[in-house]
Amino acid sequence: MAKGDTVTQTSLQAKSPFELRVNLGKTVPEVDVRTALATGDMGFLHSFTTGSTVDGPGVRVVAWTTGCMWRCVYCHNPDTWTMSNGIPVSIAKAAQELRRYRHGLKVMSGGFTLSGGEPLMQHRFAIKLLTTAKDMGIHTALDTNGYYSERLADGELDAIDLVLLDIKAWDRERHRRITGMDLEPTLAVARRLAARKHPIWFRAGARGERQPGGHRADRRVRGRSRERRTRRRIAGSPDGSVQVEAARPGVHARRGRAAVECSRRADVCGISGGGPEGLLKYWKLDNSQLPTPKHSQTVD
Amino acid sequence: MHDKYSYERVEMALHDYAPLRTMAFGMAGMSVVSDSLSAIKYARVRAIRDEKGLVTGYETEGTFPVFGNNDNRVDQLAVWAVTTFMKKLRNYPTYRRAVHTQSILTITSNVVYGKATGNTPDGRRRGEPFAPGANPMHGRDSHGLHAAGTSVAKIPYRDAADGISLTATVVPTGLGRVAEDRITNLTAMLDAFFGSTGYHMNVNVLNRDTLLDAVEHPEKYPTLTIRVSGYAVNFVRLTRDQQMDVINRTFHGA
Repeated sequence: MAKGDTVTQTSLQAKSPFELRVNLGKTVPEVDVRTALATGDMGFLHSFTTGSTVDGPGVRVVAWTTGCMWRCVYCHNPDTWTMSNGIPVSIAKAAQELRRYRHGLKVMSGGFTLSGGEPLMQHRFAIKLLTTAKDMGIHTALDTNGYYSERLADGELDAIDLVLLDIKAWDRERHRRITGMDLEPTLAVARRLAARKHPIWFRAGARGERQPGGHRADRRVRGRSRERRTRRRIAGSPDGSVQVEAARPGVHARRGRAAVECSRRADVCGISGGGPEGLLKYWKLDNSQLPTPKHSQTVD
Repeated sequence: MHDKYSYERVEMALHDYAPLRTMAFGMAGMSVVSDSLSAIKYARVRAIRDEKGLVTGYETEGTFPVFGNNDNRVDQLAVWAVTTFMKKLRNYPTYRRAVHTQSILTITSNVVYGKATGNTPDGRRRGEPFAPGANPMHGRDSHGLHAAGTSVAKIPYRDAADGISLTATVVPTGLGRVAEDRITNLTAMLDAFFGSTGYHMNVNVLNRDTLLDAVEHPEKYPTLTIRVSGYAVNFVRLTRDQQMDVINRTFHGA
């Protein structure tokens, strides 16, 4: 830990996967928090886990940062909303922890995913951590809502092998209702990444559209429980750099609306060959019948 | 003279000249030992005694690292326990100079041993089961299968040549979103485990609900088979305690 005496003794290890972890960093003086944010030598993490198969390609180590500027009605990690819920962790400590899994991650074609919260709330820390991981030869992924992506220089994007970009809703009004914030910055980063052929997986949150009123709010008590929904990459750009991941055929498929949403998301990045009809076709098939999309080059 | 009148003579007739003999020992509740030692070392433990002065329980204050999270502070305590136990066993000569071996793969007996063991400083209450084999205690491995496997892989094979088993239970969605992904990911996890000196993993891919339903309605699941250390058992034929032990294992989720 960077500053031994200011850092709490709390362990990064949750007592159980369902433990609600709050106020872990509240004893850290504000001036230290500011220094940490400015330098990125220290960041605030909620927890981490290994063996995740749903946060990018392969079997991955995932760390959740604390602090998010969005308040999505169906948020599944609301205990990561405020930064003071996190444990202060130095880059050196995080790197040391990550290094233990380096070889295993290579064997499992996995990597390291930084999720949250919104990791870019602590963008200096996020980039330093991802660069450190990449220097170890670990595949890196950033799970982001894209809102603060303009904080990242083009050179810094090179530290991220894959961006998992979550577009919560297509409609501006609905997006505001679901997340409390504007959609535009997310689209801007999608275009920016697509222009530089940066690998992206879109995470199409059809669930949000279904519950604009947030009547699943009871899910919030699940704390750290992660994405339960079965998703599938349903389309990709010809060079494989863009993948669309979406909820599996089901209720939404019958309506077809989510599929259309997805194709619109795909259009924003110039994915060709899919189109609403093509996507809809994939969407309606059973998983067992689902062909590998022609233009998709599987990442994992 | 023993061999002259013993059945062993007949059996040995089928063996090579000068066979390698082994004598097997076993350890149950390895993670209870390591977590208890860890509690004593990193937290405050006070023994509670009855009127005769016997220790009946412990008061543990503070937090301590627990086995199964790839934390060397406690994982090395487990290694120490295994190595030290073996070292002490080796001080005793064996029948016909057999090689001492040790296994850390209790199958369902961890439930029985747990029943007969009092409170332990790690917070386990009297009568509660131990974790099976070399497993972390149920629910204490909070950092996923990769971390749990790395911890177990640290137990040195040379001191436990009869087997060091990790019984892993994963829910299907914990392995990936579609069937192909699940196969790839499980294969990859096994590769990583055995690549890091892991020795033996029993993999169960199932949902807790299935097991709970099988406890209530055994007639619906005549062929439900689960892996425990070393072999597969028919779930509905286990005793109620053993069934609950399986259900209380850590399920690695998505």
